[in-house]
Amino acid sequence: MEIADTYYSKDEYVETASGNKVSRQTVLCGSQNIVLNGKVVVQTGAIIRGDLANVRTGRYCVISKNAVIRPPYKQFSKGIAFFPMHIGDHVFIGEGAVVSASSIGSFVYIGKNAIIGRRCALKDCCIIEDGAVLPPETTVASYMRYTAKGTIEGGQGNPNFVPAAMQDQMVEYTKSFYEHFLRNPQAG
Amino acid sequence: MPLYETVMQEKPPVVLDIGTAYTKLGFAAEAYPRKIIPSEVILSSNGQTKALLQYETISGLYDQFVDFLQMIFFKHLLVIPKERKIVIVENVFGQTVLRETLARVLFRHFEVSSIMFVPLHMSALATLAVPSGVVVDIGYTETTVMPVYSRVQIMQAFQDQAYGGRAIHAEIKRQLLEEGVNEKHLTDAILEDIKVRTCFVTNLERAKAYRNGQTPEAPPSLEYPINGQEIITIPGKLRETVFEIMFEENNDRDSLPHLILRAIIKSPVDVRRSLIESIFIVGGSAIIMGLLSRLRAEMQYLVEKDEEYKNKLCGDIKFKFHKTIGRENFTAWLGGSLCGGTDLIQTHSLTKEAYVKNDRVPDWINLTDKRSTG
Amino acid sequence: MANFMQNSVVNYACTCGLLNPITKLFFCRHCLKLRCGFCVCHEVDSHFCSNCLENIPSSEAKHKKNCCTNCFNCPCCQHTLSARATMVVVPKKTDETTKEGEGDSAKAVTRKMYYLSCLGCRWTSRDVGIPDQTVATGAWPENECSYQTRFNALLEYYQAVVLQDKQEKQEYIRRKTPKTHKFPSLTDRTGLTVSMIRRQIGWPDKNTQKAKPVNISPSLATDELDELPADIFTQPINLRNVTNIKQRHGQPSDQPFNVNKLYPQRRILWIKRSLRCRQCEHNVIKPEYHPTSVKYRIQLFANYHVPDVLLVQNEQILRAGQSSYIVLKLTNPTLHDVSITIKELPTLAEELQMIEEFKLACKIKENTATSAAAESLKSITSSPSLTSTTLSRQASLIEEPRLVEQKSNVKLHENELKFVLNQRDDSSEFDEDVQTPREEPEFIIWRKSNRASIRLNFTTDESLQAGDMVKVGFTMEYTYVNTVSNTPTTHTLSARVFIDAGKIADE
Repeated sequence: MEIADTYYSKDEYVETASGNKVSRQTVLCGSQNIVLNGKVVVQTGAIIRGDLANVRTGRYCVISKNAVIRPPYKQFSKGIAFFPMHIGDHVFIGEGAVVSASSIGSFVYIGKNAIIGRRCALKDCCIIEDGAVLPPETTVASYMRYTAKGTIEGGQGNPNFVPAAMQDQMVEYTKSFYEHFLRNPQAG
Repeated sequence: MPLYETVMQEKPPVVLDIGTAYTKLGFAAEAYPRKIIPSEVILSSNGQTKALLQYETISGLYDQFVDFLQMIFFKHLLVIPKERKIVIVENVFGQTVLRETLARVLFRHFEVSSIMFVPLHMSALATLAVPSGVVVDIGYTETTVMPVYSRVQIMQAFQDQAYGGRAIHAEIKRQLLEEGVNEKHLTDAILEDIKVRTCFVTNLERAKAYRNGQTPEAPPSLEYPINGQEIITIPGKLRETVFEIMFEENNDRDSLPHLILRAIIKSPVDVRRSLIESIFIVGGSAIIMGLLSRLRAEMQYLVEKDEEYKNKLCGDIKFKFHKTIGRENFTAWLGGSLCGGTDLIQTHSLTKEAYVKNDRVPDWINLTDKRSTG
Repeated sequence: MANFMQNSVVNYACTCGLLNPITKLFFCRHCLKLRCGFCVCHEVDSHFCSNCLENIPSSEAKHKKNCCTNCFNCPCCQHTLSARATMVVVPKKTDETTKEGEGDSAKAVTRKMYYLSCLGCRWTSRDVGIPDQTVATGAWPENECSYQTRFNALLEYYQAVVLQDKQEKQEYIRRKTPKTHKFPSLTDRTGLTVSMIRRQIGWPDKNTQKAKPVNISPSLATDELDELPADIFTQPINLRNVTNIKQRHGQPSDQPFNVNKLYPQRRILWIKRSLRCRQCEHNVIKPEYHPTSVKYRIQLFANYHVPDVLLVQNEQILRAGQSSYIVLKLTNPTLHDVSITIKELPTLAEELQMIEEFKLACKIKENTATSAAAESLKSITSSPSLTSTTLSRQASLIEEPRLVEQKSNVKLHENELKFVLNQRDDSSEFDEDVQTPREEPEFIIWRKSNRASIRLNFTTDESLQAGDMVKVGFTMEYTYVNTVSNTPTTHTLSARVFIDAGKIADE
């Protein structure tokens, strides 16, 4: 089914020069460390902790409502250090997800209320199901689907769990999401 | 010629034992199965998980087998099924439709080169290198007893009964519901966990006390957490009495000791002595603590006191049991692995050509298949 | 897709009869047919570990029992184990007593010792009693199978038994069916046999290769069985120390009851698959070899060749027996203009005929293949019997396509809707929208470069109840330009599309 047009009002969202649509009701700490590469949608209630470390997002990402993007930390004997976080292009992060991964590849779909443990590495074209909990430092390889039960299924070439054309599908999905997320036409 | 054969046989055959609850899979000539997985399939059409051997139509069963075997070959064993030899360990008295559908899936969809069907009881006995014995397989849905003498199955003495792991789960559920536990917590996985971790088979004196109504002092009860949400108390009495359903006295006289004794009695007179001294219990539910000693005590009691058996089994009866190598739940698989490692796989398999000619699997109940070959 | 994860509303019927959304379908360019995961042949392409993302060659994978050498799984929760380092002061072996903790490099050496720990459940390798290792990878001990020697002895015994059996049978057959010679032999004339002559000369007998009978000690049945330990009735058990079934199955060889006997398990490898069309044996999908790459060497997805049908959300209330319409958006993914015709679905008789034609086509193909191969083989070998048996291998083992289960429960108003979709032009995204005025059929609502929205009118079935799903089905015939060979040829292909339009509203 085609995505329906969603409208936001002018005072709710800010549209930057590079095409990012960021809501005013988000908590963006340390905004000088946050790099949104272009055409990124950040919805209401999202929290991006740029004050802990650098956060870099690719193009056409979608960070849904109440998602938390927090850079991962590593505990040393002498204290805690935070590491920068890299998110690739065309990534969809669902509502309420808490993401502490050290790197997320491109074309990734993260379901709602997923919890990604610290220093996880999500490679390109993987799917994290709604409600899944990833323990710290897990690697999810390409074309794998991490289920809510905690198992990993799929693989490249397996048509069942992750669609074979995942890359094209995510590109289309995030692009059409961005294009259908429109500003309320002004009255008069 | 022999050198050529060994080069060709680099690919070991795949050995599968598809049970109702668990499937054991691995390669031939290996000492233990690579994996023991629950017999559940994730359907590719809608992504739901369902029990493998639960089907509505035969084409539904076909699709389920296709999805299940695809998962086995490409996720667990990591081999291409095409042109592989397969060994399947099966119950000789199992449903024919399962056998036929499995053969159809393997030959038509996966294009394997040959299938060898191995009888479960024989292969279990093969792991002992003993020519005769009574093999008792306590599975999930049923318990089967097959006496074997001098490497031949005594078919007319076969006994089976529909209790097994599933009946034990139902009994645990019944007792817990009596205690007042909420039913929606008691999924099959929880019941199985309770059975495996906490229960055991009590000894004969205490069981008799329970039957007569004098409850002896129960073993300590314990707290069991469910999914991190609730804690239920498992009464000590439950721990030792759930397995009593296999030893229940009733008019049909079909509890486990009766099954074994009946199988022995139905065998010819001259083999009974060697059968008595060679009893072999296999199957997932046989791992439970205390089963063997209780069974021996019960059978000894029956032979001494019960009228029917006292007259037929005379003399000094001493029941002797075998110990399995490895755990009981994959003993049948182990026999299949031994079979698959020998040359039998070349001579006794059903090849694809033979299947294509007849489009059915030769079965022992079918007289046309019993023509003796050279 | 409104929601990426939900079931797709638009399904295509594959050649084998199963319904799949277009994302799960592939298009074979040589047979010009749709294929799905069920009707292609899956093959193993390469092995890799999903944790360290290392490619493992298949021979090494087979040798290592499909396990990664460096990565381990926690036996308690089946997540990945990571090696942690601790600094340990190891005193150097000298005669005098050493002073620990002083950091005196002459007397004591600080070394890094590694242990495995799980971040999901806090299990460590020290729980089992594995000593800390000096290197992070490669030295972790495995638990061995306690009965391996007995098993090997059994295997050898049975191999010898089977071989002995075979030899006896061969002997028996040889003796029973004497060889008919064309000429009389020495034995017929004189009564001498070869073995007699050999004995007279003093030579040993021929054929002394009889298999030696191998003995094995059979298992001894015993009547001394372990009774229940007495403390089971008095001692409370600690559930934390007892393994559950999943943990036991992780170590199939010994399946311990106690948690402190669970060893870390090696991680199982994963594979990349390539898919191959069963009819023409060409690859439909072939992924790249490298584990981290997401590209494909061959990618014949249906999205790239078959027009995509998308249901634009309709707010229409559907009622039984009433006429209604849905709006569909079609996209042309190819680089050529495509003319599309929308027709009714084939009837049952036509479907059965299609299946028969398919079976006939396969048989003809096999016969021509076998006869051609037989001809060539005959010239090489001179035994016609050999060729016929080996080549009849593939006779009629193909899975028959099945009838599509879902039936359409509407009737389309128009018989045929014909229109043209422009070719895909990537540069048009940036150009101005220049609408060339042209004669548009009335059902086309909107058009932009290679996409068009059409309106499909239909009448729902009378017999539908409230809450039933309305299924709109039609055949879409489209032209396809085949660029496989040097001269592109145009074909008209058809695809059967089924759409879940919505539920019948409650009265």
